[in-house]
Amino acid sequence: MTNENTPAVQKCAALARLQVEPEQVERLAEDFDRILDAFRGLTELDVSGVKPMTGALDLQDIVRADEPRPSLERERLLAPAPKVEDGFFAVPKTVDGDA
Amino acid sequence: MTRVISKQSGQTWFPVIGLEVHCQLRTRTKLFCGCANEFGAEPNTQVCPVCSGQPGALPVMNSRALELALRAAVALDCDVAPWSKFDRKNYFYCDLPKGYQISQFDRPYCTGGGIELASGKRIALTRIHLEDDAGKAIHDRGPDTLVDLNRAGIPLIESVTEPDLTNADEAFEYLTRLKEIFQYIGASDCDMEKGSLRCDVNISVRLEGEELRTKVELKNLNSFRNVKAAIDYEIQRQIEAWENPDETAHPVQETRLYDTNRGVTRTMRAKEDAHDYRYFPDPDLPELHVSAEQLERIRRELPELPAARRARYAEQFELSEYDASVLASEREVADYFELAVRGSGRAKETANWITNELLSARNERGPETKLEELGVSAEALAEMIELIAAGTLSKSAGRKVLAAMIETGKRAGVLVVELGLEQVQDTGQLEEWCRAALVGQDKAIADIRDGQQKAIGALIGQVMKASAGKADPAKAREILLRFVQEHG
Amino acid sequence: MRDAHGLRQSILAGERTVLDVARATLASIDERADLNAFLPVEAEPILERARELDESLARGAAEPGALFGVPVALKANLAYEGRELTCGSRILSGYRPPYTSTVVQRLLDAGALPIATTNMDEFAMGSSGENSAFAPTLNPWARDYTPGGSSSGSAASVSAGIVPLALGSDTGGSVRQPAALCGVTGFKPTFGRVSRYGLVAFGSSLDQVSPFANSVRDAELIANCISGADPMDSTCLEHAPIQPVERANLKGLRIGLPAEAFGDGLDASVRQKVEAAIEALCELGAERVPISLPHSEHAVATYYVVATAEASSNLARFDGVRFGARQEGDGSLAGMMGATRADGFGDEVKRRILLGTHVLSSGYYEAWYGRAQRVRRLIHDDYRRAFESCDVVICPTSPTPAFRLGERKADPVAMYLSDVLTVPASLAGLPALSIPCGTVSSDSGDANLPVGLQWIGPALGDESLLAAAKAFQSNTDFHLATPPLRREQAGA
Repeated sequence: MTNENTPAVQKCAALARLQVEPEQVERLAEDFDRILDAFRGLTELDVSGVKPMTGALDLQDIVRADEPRPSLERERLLAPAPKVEDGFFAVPKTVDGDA
Repeated sequence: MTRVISKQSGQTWFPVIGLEVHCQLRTRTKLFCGCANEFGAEPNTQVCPVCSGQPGALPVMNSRALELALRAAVALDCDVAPWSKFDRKNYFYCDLPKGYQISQFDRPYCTGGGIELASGKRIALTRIHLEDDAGKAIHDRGPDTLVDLNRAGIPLIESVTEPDLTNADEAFEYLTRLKEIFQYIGASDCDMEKGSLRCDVNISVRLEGEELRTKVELKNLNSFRNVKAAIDYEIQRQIEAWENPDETAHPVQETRLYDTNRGVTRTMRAKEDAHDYRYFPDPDLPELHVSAEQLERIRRELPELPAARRARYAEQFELSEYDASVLASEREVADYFELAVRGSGRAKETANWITNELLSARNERGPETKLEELGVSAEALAEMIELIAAGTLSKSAGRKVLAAMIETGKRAGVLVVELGLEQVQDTGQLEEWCRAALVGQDKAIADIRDGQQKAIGALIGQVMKASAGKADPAKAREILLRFVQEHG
Repeated sequence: MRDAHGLRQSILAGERTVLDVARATLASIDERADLNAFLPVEAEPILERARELDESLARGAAEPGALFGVPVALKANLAYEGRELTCGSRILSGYRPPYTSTVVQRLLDAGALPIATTNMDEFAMGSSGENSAFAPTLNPWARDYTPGGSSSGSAASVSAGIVPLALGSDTGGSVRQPAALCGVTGFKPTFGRVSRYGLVAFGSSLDQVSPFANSVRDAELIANCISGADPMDSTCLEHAPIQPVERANLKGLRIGLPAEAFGDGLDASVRQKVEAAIEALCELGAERVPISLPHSEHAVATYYVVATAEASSNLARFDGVRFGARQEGDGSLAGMMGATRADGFGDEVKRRILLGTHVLSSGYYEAWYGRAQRVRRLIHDDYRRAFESCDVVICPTSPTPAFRLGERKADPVAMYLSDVLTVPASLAGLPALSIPCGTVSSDSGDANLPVGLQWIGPALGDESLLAAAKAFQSNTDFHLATPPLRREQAGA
């Protein structure tokens, strides 16, 4: 029996670049079921006219001056990288936009 | 409105074109960190924890980027939003360190505005928004794709037009005007070769009275000329595709790359089920507010824009449309011109010296050269023009002096003496040269007497030659004419 | 080692060196390895730092900092240049950040001795410590029980007396809840009073670096050191660091008691302890004020929608390109990223990434994320109204005492409901702390488990919240209770 949330899980896994095994998909879809059901009340609340709260603070216009700060030495930047070539991060061959 | 008549069917098609232009802002540092915003550094040397997306690093907005973006908005007559915010655009790619681009989705910092073309047609803007640039993925060096993050985080403004354009020429002109303006106000270098201006084209064709048909996005356009060529090609391609009786050959919604070598566009990727970027407000960045006072200040500080200058030069200085346009299209040249005119009081001469001599000298040194690098200040040029007007220097000697000014950085007055180019006004000396020029010229003398005035040109030429260009040609002419009359 | 103030004094008085302290701490980390509170320790840099501190003291170089020589354990999500930063995840194994977080820098500036990183639920996602990719942390009070989470190791290390101070991060209760379950003090400052620069993000609009200590006074000491404006964090407030404020007694303190927090879901023994503590408060002069926070019932849903949405985006950077462990997958770029993330993230992290992706995706955004943002404001406004009639909101920190390892692991909803009493203050961005208020016998009678009393103050009311809680602790001894397995104080 396929869960009604299975397509959503599959779509999200693709969007989130998470390879998920088929048997995991079913389990995750069941989790979706339970979690979203537990959260259902949220969707039934009347929120008309309420301004969204995007952060805990009402801050605005926090900016910095356009003044250079030192960049990292390249060795330090590249040290944690899984694969490095010639001062670049190296990844499997791809064409632009094809990821 | 441009119509394209199909060669095959005779049907009339109407192209519908919109442009999305990304310009890197000319700040010293990146949009959200203090790394240098400079082109051409060694790969991955202008990168810090923030722009490489190290876990835990946070963005802080560059105030200068907002200032430049606002100048662009004011210059293009946009409506600046009293508040705007940053949103995350989520997608995965190897050149996108954070896994999202910080952009503006439903509250861009400005909307509306536009640019007027020479024809009077106005290309309307939908919006401009601020965002950070991605890094660079290099695919043609070895078996792996290589990633350089120097570009990651550089501030961009993306301006999006309404689908108001109907042909390649309009696109070319729009881009030219946009570039002029952004350069004028110091917002962006708009150098396509360095990638500081990038243009994507949305294009479709339709028949009279129809709704819009399937839209294709063109990418990889690395010069204005390619934009033009790609649009021309794509219009024809789409018309032919629509007129193909086989429906599977009809245009599909996709992104196509322009192949510069072959002059064609080809499929890059089909738009699967359109990307789902899951935009949401970036919780790391507070809202941006722009006050009326701030906008007023920016408006006040904005330079006179190229279109206004062109019109003023034509009217105030009675310059030709061409000269006005050449002088006004770059702010440095225009400012230089105006300063020189203020010194010499002679607009037409000044325009000629700049367009004929200085700009070609500059161009010879390469496209990067600035006018000021020639070392001839506007005051110095004005002085030289005055020397000519006063008769101290001939026009041809003027060219030599100007060349020497560029070479040595000395002022015209000094060089005239050093080079011995001061025009000779002394009548005795002039008479001597004229007398010599008339020797053996009986035919010319007779012609002049017969009223054939142009024969005198050759004689003046002789005098100039003999005097090494120092003779005042007007005076030489007077003397020659007197001698010819006296001769007989 | 229980007392940070006292420890510093003893070092300055020459009773022991920082090196003594460092060695003793490392020894007790070893001795309590059974708790899994710490991730692998690199001793040498810690000893090196201790020697430097001793030398600087001997030289009389500068005024010794407020945390001079005091060992502070760090949750494994705080960047400290060159030290492994795993966030309890396989995907970051071996990752050493090229920079230092603002809070760790401030600890260093205050002369503290940062100690190895502590175990945690992977990427701070969990309420039990069981989502660590390495091993579950055990509760020092009873090793079959969880210490709570996600700052599990930090809570356990302070509770077990290994260190007097530890830093954790509190997104929806990840410091207050384990503080309650381990019987220590946990303090979450107002959102924005402590820089997040260098704290690996989970829910950016909620995350706040927060200390554990054995007393409010020590929590205040370290909060004073780490708080204050930071130009590297746009959401960090300009306000001055949190200042110690003294309050002689609790006379006239209006304590708001939200009906919703004392409902049916509350464990009877927890209720009893909390009510006894409230009674004690009133005996010290506080006045009860019944209040209502009507939108509380939606807080857990709101919190999980907001936090998972932000997390789905925050965790996108773990793609195998620039750091961390890479899996090649099918050899394509997308395949490499997909395999790296599939292999590197644990089940709960995947679940939350997917949930967060879902609530932001086209067609669901308005129904879930858009709504949650609005309900968040309603919850925020509930508190604003409540604080018109009271000075502090008092309620339990957790509806139950510590639960058994494995008890809720299979049921994400049950686990999420562990946070029901802590997420509202997180959503509203308010300062909140949890202090011990006695112990209760476990259901099976095999253990005594601590109960936490939660104090929530109005925004930016950190100082007066701490002052009131200090006054409470100076008149009570709940906070002096220690777990039975605790070793004797090192070196004392």
